[in-house]
Amino acid sequence: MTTAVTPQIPGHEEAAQATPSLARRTLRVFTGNKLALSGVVLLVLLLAFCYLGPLVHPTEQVLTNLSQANLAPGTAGHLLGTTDLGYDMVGRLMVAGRTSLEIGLAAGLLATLFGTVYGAVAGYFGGWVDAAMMRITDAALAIPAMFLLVVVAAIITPSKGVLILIIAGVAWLSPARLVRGEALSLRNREYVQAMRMMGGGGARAVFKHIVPNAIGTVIVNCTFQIADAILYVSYLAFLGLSIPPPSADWGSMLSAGITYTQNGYWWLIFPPGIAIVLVVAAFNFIGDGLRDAFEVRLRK
Amino acid sequence: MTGFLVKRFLQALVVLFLVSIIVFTLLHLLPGGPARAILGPKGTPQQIEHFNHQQGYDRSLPTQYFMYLKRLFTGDLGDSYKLNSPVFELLKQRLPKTLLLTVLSTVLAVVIAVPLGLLQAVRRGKASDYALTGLAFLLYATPVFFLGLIMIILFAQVLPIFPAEAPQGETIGQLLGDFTGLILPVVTMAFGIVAMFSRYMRSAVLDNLTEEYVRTAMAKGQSNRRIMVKHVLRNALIPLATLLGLYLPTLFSGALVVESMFNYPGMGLLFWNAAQGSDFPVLLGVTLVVGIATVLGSLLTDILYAVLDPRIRSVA
Amino acid sequence: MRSLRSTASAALALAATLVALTGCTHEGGRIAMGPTGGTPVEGGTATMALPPAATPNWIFPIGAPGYGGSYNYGIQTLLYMPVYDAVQEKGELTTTGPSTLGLKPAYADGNTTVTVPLRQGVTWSDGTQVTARDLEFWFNLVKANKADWGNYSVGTMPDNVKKFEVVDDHTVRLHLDRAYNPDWFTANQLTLMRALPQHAWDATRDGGRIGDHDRTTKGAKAVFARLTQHAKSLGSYGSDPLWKTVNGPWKLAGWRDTGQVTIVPNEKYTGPKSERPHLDKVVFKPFTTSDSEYNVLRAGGVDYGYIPPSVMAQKEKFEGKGYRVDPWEGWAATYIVYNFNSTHAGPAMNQLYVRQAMQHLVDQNAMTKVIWQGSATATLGPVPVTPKSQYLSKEMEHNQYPFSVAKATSLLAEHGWKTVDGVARCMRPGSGDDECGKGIGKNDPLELTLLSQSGSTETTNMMQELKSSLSKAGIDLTVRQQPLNSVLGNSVPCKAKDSGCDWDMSFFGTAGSWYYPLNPSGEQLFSTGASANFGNYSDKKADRLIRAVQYAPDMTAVHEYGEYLAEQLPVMWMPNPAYQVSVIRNDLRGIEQNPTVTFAPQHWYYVKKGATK
Repeated sequence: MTTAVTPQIPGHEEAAQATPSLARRTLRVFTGNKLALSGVVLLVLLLAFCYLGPLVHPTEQVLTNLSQANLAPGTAGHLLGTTDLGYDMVGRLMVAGRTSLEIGLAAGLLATLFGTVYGAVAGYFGGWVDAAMMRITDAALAIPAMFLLVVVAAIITPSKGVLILIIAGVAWLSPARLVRGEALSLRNREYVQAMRMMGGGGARAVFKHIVPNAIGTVIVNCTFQIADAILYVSYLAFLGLSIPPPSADWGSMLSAGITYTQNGYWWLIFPPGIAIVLVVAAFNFIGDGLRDAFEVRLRK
Repeated sequence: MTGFLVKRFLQALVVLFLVSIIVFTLLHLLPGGPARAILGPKGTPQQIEHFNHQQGYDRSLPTQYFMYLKRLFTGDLGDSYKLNSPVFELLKQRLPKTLLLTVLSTVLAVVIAVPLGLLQAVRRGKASDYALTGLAFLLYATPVFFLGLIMIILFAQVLPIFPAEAPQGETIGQLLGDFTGLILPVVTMAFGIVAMFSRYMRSAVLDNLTEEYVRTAMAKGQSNRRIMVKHVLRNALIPLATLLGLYLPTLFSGALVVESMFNYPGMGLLFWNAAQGSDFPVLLGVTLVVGIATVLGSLLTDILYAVLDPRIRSVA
Repeated sequence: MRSLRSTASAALALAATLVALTGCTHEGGRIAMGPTGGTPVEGGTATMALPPAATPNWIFPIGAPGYGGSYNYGIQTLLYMPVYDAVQEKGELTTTGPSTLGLKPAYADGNTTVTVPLRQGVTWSDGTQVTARDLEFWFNLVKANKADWGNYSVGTMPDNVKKFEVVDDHTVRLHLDRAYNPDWFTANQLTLMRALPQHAWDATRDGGRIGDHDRTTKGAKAVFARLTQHAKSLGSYGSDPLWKTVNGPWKLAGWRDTGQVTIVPNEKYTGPKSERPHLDKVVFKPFTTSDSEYNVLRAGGVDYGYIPPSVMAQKEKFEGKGYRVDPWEGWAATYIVYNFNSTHAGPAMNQLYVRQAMQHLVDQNAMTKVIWQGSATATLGPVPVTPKSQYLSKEMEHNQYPFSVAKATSLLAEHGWKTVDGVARCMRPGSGDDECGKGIGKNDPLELTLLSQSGSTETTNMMQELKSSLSKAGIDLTVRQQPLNSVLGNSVPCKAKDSGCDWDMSFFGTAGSWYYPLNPSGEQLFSTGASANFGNYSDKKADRLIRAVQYAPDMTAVHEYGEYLAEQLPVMWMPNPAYQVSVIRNDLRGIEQNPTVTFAPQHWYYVKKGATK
């Protein structure tokens, strides 16, 4: 009975010290996390499905074939049936998965990059610079992301690049605030103080010390950002904003499938929906494992 | 404390001002303005010009913004282009309905998430922790609209237990009177929140378990249950309360999706429809109200936090 | 620990029970009645679902710009008898009937004057006679407030009326600025006229004295402003005494700000007996999305609703539950606009053979059948093919450009195009008969960009199908999806080489591109420089034919115009979606689905089981 209460938090003591064994320990903690491992496995499988799949299962994904529309799963050659335009579902999931993953990765990375620099600058300079920069993030945070996306969906012509920018545009706030917090605490550390006294430039301090020191936070956050970005792709599709056909992403497949909810065409709805859930969960598992490994408390 | 409050309040005002600028600018990026959307393909060039002049869209952006602000200070949020009603009236009817939905879902979510998070923390590293953590992440990874769709398919179509449409009553009483209609929307929204809250609860409890006073209490030989309820749970609930304030925008986001899926006549649906029809005054009004709610929410959270947490109070 | 875990599981169980306790069945009951037979009964309530996003929001019969939705007009005509209206008599569309205040108009003086006789004995609900003065009141208001009237466009009503003469209490005479085609003038101009209760509304301010204020421009402006002010307060429609003076078969019982409108019979109605309501109450219920409407329909929450086209495959389900499924065809044309001034593609668009090749690549039948699940009809020209009308000639019912990749390919090949790497390129530039045409250079590719309305699976699929079949003839189409208002905002008339003129094609017809007034004359669509001629189509013969439809004294003009434009392809004809796929309770009868999408609930009645009538 008592064992449950006894705190066993691995890696706790080591976290602060930067020793060469840190990387190894981190890896050990990560691989010890079953969820994180299953996340990695899941992600590898999904990547293989999307990028190697078409080599094994080549399908027509540009030319429509109305005579083959809405075939049920199991029809010869169509394991998961066909879409309302006669595309093979399995093949379409592969092509669409690439788009979802690529947009998610790009948007997640962009948001993290921008947010990190923004937060680091605000945190390093502090004072009114920090106050002004943080009020901007407060304001942006005060508008729920969905509200922004709904408006954006109503005024913008989508393309891959535009989607990446939009998602990064709503997602950069969280890394910005996190890194700013880290930076605030780091700026009082001795080496940064020392650099200031020696007249070291602001930019140099930011990039040489603050960003590298916050790297654990950043990497973990980035993983979650990618997961969220893939979710955002699907929300945008639900709002009617997805890359133009014949390209597709899982979100646009799902929202097209929703049209047929009443017809019982479940194969148009569940495969893309489950694919989204799996890939987002995989990134979250990995992020969670990384967080434990880096022992950074993020979702505070 | 007063100084802190004044400072936070001023910050909140600045933030609100920025919110209005962001939304205003975003809306006015629309090519050609809302005239086309309002007048449709049959609108003649003369009508479009007339509309733009009447609504002030032919003036410069800053001028338009200051006109908007000026009217705002007299409490005038403008009139909806599509619904032929003052925005203020629309908000007055819709806001309470959205609050009802969010409050019900949040309560349900907390009721589920707190024990769930506790359980996970207590069983840390065990199979049940992994299973529950995995489940929470899967829930988190499920887009709200997909979750709602599954709910509709399962509980309104396959097993026709609940209506797939939210109640359409005009008053809160009427909405509550048709409670079965509220179940699917509330549960859908709550599930989305559970994932975040239980995860948070888990780490908050874990944090507290390592605290000095818990160790002390344990050393004193107090019962586990007493420790859990008296120290850990109580202290873990404080940050959860603050979390509620921070998650207000997320809640509203969820409400928007859920309302549009279940045709619930709240603010999210109002906003959704307004966006489809380029109803600028409504879009501005709703965003402003949501912004105010969020800013007030985080203000209250800060105050609550200061009041609840003895450590912060002693510092202040 | 055990206790803690049990607390946790107890809470979970509690939540689950809470959820389970309140459950009950909500599936709608079956209607035990076939689509025919039964004994008509008086009374009852019918709830009709309005199309997605159609929110009735304007009661004043002079619609402000932006408030001209067909649902507004449809409801207004139930409260205020129209003077002329597109009414369906024995399946044919015509302008006069028992529901109209005006009797058959008489044209004279070489079609430069028109005399409008009014039905005698019709009174307002307060007992006052409906007279010619009420029409004059309308005319004065509209003339003084043209810019605030949604139906106004330069040169038409009221500009084309030189003098509005009240002949006697029940006759007015309009002196026109030139000779008009009587059919066109009645169908598209006289139908705009309204009779408004002058004796109740002609005051310049609330509580002011009723007088002849409308007879001066200043007075008419003030009266109009006051009425508009009242109309801008949706929440007060139900209680505002102003809207209580009606002459139609119905009166208002409630108008919620969500757009839900309830009407009950006007017991003071004095019009023709055939227009007297059978039902006690009719509710028009607005919905945001067709999905939410569908859910309510399934639960039996509406008596007269609709299903999204994608659910057409499930129509037996509804028929089994006692509903009839009946697509409501709209009086509309649906098309993709070609931009004849497009910077890149203009020269190609200007070639008839290119447009013909492209039209041959639109598989309207497959689109109609698969994508619209049978709830759309092919558009073959400017005049709607269904329902049949006097405007349609035999010639126009024939599809001149049936789907054929081979025909399209050979049309292009004959004019010097060759497909290289999947894209057709011009090999023989020049303006000879077997050459590409003026302005098309050697090796120019056939690459087009289409702005298409987003938000509809059917539209997205149509465009994908189009792209796919165009590519089979080497035409490369890039589809850019935009929200409706962006599509409309971006595809405006423009001059070649101007910065805003780089769009090639545009589609905004998810709900039909253009709903006609009764006469499908298209002067706003296809005549040079017209306001809705977004693609800058300009053809001297077309202009002449359209003018003839408006001004010539006979019906052959509209046939010539229809046939010529069907052949000339000023736009790419696309499947015309039904206004809605209606689902109606089998025991609710008397419903005609008027293609101009108005309603006549006064004809609706319920039947109960029993002897057939």
